[in-house]
Amino acid sequence: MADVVIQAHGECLEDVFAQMSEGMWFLMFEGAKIPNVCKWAIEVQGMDPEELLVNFLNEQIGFLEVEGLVVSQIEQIEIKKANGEFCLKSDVSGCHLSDLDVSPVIHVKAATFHELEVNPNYARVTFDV
Amino acid sequence: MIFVSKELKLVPGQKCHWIMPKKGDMKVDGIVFATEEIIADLEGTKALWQVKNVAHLPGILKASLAMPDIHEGYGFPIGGVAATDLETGVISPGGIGYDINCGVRLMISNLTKSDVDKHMDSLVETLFRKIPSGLGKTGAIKLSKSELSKVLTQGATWAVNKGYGWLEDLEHCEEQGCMAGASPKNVSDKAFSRGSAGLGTLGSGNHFIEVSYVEQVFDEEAAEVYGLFENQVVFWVHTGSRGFGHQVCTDYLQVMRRAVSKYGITLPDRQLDCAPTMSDEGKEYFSAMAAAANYAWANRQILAHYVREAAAETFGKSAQELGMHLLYDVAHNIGKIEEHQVNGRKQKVLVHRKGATRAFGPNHPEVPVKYREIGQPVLIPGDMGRASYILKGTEDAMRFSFGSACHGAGRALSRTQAKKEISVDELRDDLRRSGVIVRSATVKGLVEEAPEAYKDVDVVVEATCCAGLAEKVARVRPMGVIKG
Repeated sequence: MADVVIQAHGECLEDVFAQMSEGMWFLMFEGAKIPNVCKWAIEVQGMDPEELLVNFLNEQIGFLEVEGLVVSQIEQIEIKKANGEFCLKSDVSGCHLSDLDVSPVIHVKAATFHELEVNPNYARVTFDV
Repeated sequence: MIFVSKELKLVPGQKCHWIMPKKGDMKVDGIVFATEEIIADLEGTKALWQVKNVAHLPGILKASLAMPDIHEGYGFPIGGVAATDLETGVISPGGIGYDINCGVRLMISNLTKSDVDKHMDSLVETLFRKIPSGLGKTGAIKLSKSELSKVLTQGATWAVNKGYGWLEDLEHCEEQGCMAGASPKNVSDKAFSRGSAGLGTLGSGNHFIEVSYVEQVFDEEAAEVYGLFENQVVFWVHTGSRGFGHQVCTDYLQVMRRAVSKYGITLPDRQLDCAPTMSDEGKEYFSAMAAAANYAWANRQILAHYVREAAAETFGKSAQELGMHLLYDVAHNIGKIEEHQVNGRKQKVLVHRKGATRAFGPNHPEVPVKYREIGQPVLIPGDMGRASYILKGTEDAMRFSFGSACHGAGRALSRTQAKKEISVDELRDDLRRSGVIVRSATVKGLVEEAPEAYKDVDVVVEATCCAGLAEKVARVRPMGVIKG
């Protein structure tokens, strides 16, 4: 299996999601400095926090593949439950791949549901790389 | 008998067949096709537990099967095969994988090793230049939504019609490179976006282009029919449906999560989420999966065209003059509706092959006419330092494994472990000493795919043949590799 597991800790669910996102980008660029050149919004839904986290991470992977956008920072993140669905709205900042001197070291293809754990202070995600 | 734990034991069946007896909520037995040594190597992984978990799928027929290259996957083990009743069973995206129709194709040539040896540096450089590889590399082909929709319904035929390859190529692809039932309307906008610039690219991870030579022929008759001879140079293409297939899988895992609740399905692992094949959710996933499979066939068709161009440029002759015919193209992450004998009667089933190759035996109507008397070519890439194999499908595979065999060597080290344990400089030196020239989009990507990261393909192939799932035709050795 092409696997990397990231564990994230935080003070609340939003913080855990932000930490996990940071971990994913650290993995891809091995900690290289990503400048804040532009901002964009991410909005995803999920039937539970697990699906919401997987969707949040996969949305970012999609932005990288399609638009070439690399996240530097989660500026703001809000999670709400409405009509039985969890909704996440986030403002993120970062840059375009072409703004960077470095290339991604690891290609993260997807965040998976494999042995996924999400609670308000901790998450564990297996990434397909 | 092998005791994996109190709850999990394997009982020897016939040679290289190990039975995991049905227990608890398992609907069928598990069967692992392997040697005792291969099973011992699985210690500490969840691969055998995953065989057990798959046996819980509603409508699963005969057994939850594992090929000799079994290793831990997501939900299904890699090397896992499960056939479900088409009318009463389920379809599970986890049984097909994220990289839908990841597969391999092999082109033969009339070049010999000695013809190519002195041109290898130039050939590898030309291949590397022509074939976009690695993360974020887009191809020269940018498609509108309507044109991409044509790719999704026409597969390799679209590519051939656009001038990427030869009409005869289609005859030598599983499904003639185009799976019926694909429906672009069941594909999300996100998947369309991710697919719009990925066609004609290799990608990263274990995907590769390889130049090899036939080191040994085991079956002269089959080799002659397949067009193989000793010292002949052949060309491999290994890739899949890129971000498009990943997005289709991700989208439908969510659909299946809801379907599991809707249809009251109980499963031991969320990655096995599924829906009845004949439900709306099941039919929609199948049609999107078929679209992704067609994307992958078009992708391999285009890359094969680039390989032909690179060879033509290097040797100053056309691909036709170089005899670069397609031997075969097989999928190894796919779900297929096929007819098989179950409990003494023929019935249509849905075969999930997750890291497993179709291996149809002689006289099967879906095997190309040219190969029908011999059996389907079964392409088994190994690793970039040792060897790969061309096998042929058997009658026994039809009986034991729904016409399936292994798909490669199988990983021995995770990518993370490989990076910790292998030095890139030593790897390059070792490969060059053994006569293999390598170019990779990233240094890390190369280390992850080092020979040491894989099981010995010889051992896996021996077990596959021992289990009766395929027979050896030829063994090839790598000369040059382009890694994503």
